[in-house]
Amino acid sequence: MNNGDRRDISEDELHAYVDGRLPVERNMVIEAWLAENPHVADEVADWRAQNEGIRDLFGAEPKSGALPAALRGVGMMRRVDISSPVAAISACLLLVVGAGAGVPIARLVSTPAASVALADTLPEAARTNYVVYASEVRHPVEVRADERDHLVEWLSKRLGSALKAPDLSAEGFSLIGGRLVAFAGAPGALFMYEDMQGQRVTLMAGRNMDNAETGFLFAKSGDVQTFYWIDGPVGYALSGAINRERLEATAHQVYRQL
Amino acid sequence: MSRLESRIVELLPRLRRYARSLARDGHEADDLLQDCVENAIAGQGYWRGANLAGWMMAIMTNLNRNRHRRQQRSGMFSALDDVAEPASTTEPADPLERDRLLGAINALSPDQRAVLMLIVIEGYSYAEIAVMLDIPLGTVMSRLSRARHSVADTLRGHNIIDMRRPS
Repeated sequence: MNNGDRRDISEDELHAYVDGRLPVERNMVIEAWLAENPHVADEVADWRAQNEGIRDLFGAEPKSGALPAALRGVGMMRRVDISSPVAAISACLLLVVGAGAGVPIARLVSTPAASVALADTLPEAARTNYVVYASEVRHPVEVRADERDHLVEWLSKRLGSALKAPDLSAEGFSLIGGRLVAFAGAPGALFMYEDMQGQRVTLMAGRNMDNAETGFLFAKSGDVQTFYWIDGPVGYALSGAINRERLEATAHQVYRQL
Repeated sequence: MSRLESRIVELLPRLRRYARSLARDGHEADDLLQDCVENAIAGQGYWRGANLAGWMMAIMTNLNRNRHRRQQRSGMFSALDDVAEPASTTEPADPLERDRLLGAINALSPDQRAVLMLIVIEGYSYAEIAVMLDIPLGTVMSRLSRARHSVADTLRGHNIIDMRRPS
């Protein structure tokens, strides 16, 4: 930039102009001056374009992401990290849907049921575990499905509650295996399933300390969708990047078997 | 959960956005946010009770600078260049242009980048940033100036390379 032809307009002021920090009357002075100084005007236009590009890159508040570990305690956690609407129905409605009445769960939106704490941490944790482990090619699981009994027994013991690895073959998914995960400061279990196309879903189970139950809940974050519910001592969450109808049908399979 | 912690939870979307604007990829952004929250909770005695967002963004800015220094020392910088993915969340009009801009931003020093992002993304005034980062206003302006000239130069460099490429 040629400082010689800028007269009383400093570069600082040009930045302030680009960032919309000047009073309107000063803007007009600068615009008139830029009209006579096309080289500087080009540079200012570049900066403006940079601002637009930067806003395009980083301007949106991310809808979700990993919850920092320091905040992952159970307690009073509120729903902030998954912004998608929560659909909830009561357990009895769930059975009707599961029996094939085909009522879309999302239509039956009501306020989330009792357990605010666990119900809020569960979908985020399930999503994170899905994203981290389902993308693993070589080591998606710690214990493979050929040791199914050992896997289920081991995870049940760590979770402190009897688990089952449901059979999801009706939806085309077969068990690959499972792993121990951390959930809300305690051991949790993750089962992973895969279909013929290599699409994966994960079923996470975490201990429910709140002694509360919920109906069927739904959360979506990016491509990853999660159906989750709390059933007595254990909260379950089924996550996948498959279409919602199929995930929902699979979640019903899980629910019926547990 | 303490009052501070629940206020941090409320700020998470903004803090995450700032982390992504500073970081070279999504993993780095997550780490940065994580470290920032840990530091804020551990050091809450230093928080003077006002402008929590600004205080935490200053912590994150410092953590990011330290992280870059460590990486430069251990030679990770070029390795990160190879794997850097945009940490952003929006789809661009022109992916090529966007990649170029991202490359130019990744080439900035952490301090220049932080000032640029605090202005453009977080909408702070120059004076607010001076207070937040505890630096003179003149330093804010010179970092901003250097950042913009550097990005423009890098983008121009890309154009020259493209134009010289035989068709």
